[in-house]
Amino acid sequence: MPFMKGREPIRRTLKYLNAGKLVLKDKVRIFSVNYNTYGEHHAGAREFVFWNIPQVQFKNPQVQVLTLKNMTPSPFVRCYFEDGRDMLIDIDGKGHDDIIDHLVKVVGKTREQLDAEARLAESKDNPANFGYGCDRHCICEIPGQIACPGTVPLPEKMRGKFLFAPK
Amino acid sequence: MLRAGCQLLGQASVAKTGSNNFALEFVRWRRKPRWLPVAKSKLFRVPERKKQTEEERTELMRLHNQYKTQLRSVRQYLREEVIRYEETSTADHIVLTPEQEEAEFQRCLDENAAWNAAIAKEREIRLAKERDEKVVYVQERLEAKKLRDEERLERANARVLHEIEQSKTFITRENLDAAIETALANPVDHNFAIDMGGNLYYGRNATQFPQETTNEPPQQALSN
Repeated sequence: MPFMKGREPIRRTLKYLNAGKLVLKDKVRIFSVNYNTYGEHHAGAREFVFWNIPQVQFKNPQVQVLTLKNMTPSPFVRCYFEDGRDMLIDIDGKGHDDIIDHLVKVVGKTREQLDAEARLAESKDNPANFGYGCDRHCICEIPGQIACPGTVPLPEKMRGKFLFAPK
Repeated sequence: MLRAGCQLLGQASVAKTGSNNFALEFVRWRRKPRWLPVAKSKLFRVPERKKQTEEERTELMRLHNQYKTQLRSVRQYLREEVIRYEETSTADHIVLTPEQEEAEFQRCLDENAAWNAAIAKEREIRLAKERDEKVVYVQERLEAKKLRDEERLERANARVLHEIEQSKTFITRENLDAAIETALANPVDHNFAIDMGGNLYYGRNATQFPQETTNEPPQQALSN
């Protein structure tokens, strides 16, 4: 898909996708939405599918996200858990903001849990870190970064010898 | 630190250069070795405590307190840092026990059940309303159809009556000869011109027409 083409291309921007509020619990394996393409009480479900499904899938790459069209009289979301149970969430006549808020409360991770996981991921797995206990000892090990001046002299424009040399 | 010999103990602690003494060692610190007991002359000596003035005592106390406070805060900071590191380096504090997880799941289920019930109530109201509207609509349409059918029947009846009325003047096999006779007796001439005022101009007598056509070629007759 070309950049900024099509219907509401903002839905495909990284910023929008990352702004998704719904991070599903680890137990959720399948997330399915049933809705119709017509009908007043399906409007919220349609909006939800249009605006929020990309975010949900982006934030939960391990979850299968399904949308089933025109198979139901009233729209609903169904989440299947890893232990075989499932949860049916009625979204009849609700706006997509209400739906996402409720889903965050019911099948989403809490804010504290997300914060803790972010800290955990950042402190251990951040590939940008370097030094003791990290993947690399020095940033100079990355191709394209400046080598350590002890090994290779710095570029001349960074050295005072040349910067402040009389012309 | 080691001494070259016991003879050095009695000498001054200055460096000796140019001496004829063999194996001379430079002695900077002189002290009685640790393993020698307290000298007899000092055995029963009690050192006098230093007298502190009130000012000095308060000042020392202030410094002491300050030092203790600072050290305590550093220790506390380090302790918190360790806790923080442990929190971020393991997932223990965010992983729930199975019982907690089950309770949490049940709470979510209950919350969702309440939400579903509220929506079901709203939907019932909406469906009832829609049903009533549908009943009214169907009723209207049925009545409209009834009216339409009646009108249609009426129109058909009128048409039939009209046809029956018309059929009185139809030419049938019985009155065919009479009709032919009548037509021959009353020829109608449509061969006329008309102007904008609606006046008719007859060019010739229609009764002469067949005789003229017999004398003239067909092309000329058609051109008239």
